[in-house]
Amino acid sequence: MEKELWLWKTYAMVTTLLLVVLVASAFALETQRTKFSEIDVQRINIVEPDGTLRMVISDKSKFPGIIVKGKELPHPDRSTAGMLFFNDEGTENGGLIFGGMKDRNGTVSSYGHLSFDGYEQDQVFTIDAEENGNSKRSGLSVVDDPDWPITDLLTIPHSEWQNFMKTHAPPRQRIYLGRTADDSASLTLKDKDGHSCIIIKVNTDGSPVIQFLDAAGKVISQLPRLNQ
Amino acid sequence: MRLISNQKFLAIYSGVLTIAFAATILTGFGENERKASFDQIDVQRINIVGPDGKNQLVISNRQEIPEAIIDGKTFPSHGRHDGAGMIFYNNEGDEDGGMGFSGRKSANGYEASGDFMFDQYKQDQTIGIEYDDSNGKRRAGFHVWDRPDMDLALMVEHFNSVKNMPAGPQKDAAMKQLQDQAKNGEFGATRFFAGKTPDKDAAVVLCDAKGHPRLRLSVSASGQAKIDFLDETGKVTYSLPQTSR
Repeated sequence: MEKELWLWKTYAMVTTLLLVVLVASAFALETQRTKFSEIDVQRINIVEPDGTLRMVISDKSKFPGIIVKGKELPHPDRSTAGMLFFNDEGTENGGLIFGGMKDRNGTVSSYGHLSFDGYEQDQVFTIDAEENGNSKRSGLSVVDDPDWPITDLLTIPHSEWQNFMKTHAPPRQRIYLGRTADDSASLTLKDKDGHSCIIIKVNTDGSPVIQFLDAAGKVISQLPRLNQ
Repeated sequence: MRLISNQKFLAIYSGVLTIAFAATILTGFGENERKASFDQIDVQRINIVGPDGKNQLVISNRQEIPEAIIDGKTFPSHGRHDGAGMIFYNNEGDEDGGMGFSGRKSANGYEASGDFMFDQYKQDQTIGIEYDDSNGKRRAGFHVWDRPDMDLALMVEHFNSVKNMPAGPQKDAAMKQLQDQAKNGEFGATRFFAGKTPDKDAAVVLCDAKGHPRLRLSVSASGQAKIDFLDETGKVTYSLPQTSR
């Protein structure tokens, strides 16, 4: 009997101590700066003190949709790992994504994309590396975005997007510099409607040229001149 | 009587404690598996991993930064641990880009760099923003590179097999062939540069597939603006503004 009691007492004391240590260390975790040598994690959310999301770093399986003012809407076709940036209002305003694979037929697709968005609009500055089968493109783009809020598009079903775009101005690329899919290297400056006005280019065969074009795409002047 | 109640109390107390203890441990592990909150963390390296545990993104200090990996093979490379940064991985676990930054005093002054790159599939960088500085000899700009369709792992293997050949005419011939191939841009070539050159020009340079500059728009440090058209040997064939002859 005495022995049994002693056992109970010891057990109670040890468990009490363990519980105190656990609770204390849990509180310590919450208030301190926590140190790790290495962390494996699927997703990290960087948040303001009020919980406003400012950045997400994530694998593919936990990658968010489009978040506008803290509300998540599905993205039509984003399946990737990377980072997303959010403005002061918790609305997506840029990101960095990357990936690539070889499909069953041996066709390669690969991409890297860094972009910054306009206020409640799509990307206005991008750096892209893109590979689809034999077609490769690497370049920097500056884009003019329309003035309508992108939420007008995001909150209607995907099947109605095409109709919506018939009555709304699309984004227009203004500057492109890089390598194009036809294996030329070029710097292209465009007007606000997206027409190329100046093309500075080294063609696929290596010949350099500067072209000035009208809105219909006709070359109105070229350097060096054709007989030069 | 007292003994019994005392024992009963202890038994109940122990039972409750055991349950509380188990619950603490279980929920504790549960939280680790799901979601945890911290005000601030100090960490040497963060691995963003898929449900399969494979790296998709690594953020690291310079000591722990992982070596380049393609087809499961690692490539220890020169200068890899000079700076901290981030490394990106594609769906197959190959490195496919990254961001790095460094700066340090060296024996003859200082070295500094910052870069952000995306790689071609199973190859080296194809696009990037780069700053490179060695004692004030600095270059900063935007680059686009052509890369061969050959797997980088196979390319490095080939280089190493030539490097490890016994000295002799056979090795010399193989080395010469590699150099010729490199000159022809077969292992990669700059296609586009926009930025500041070590000569302090602000320039846009477009190159052919072999990496030869063919069109160059530049403003020199003293303010001289010009556009040069070049042939593949580097000779200027046409230039603007045209000088009086």
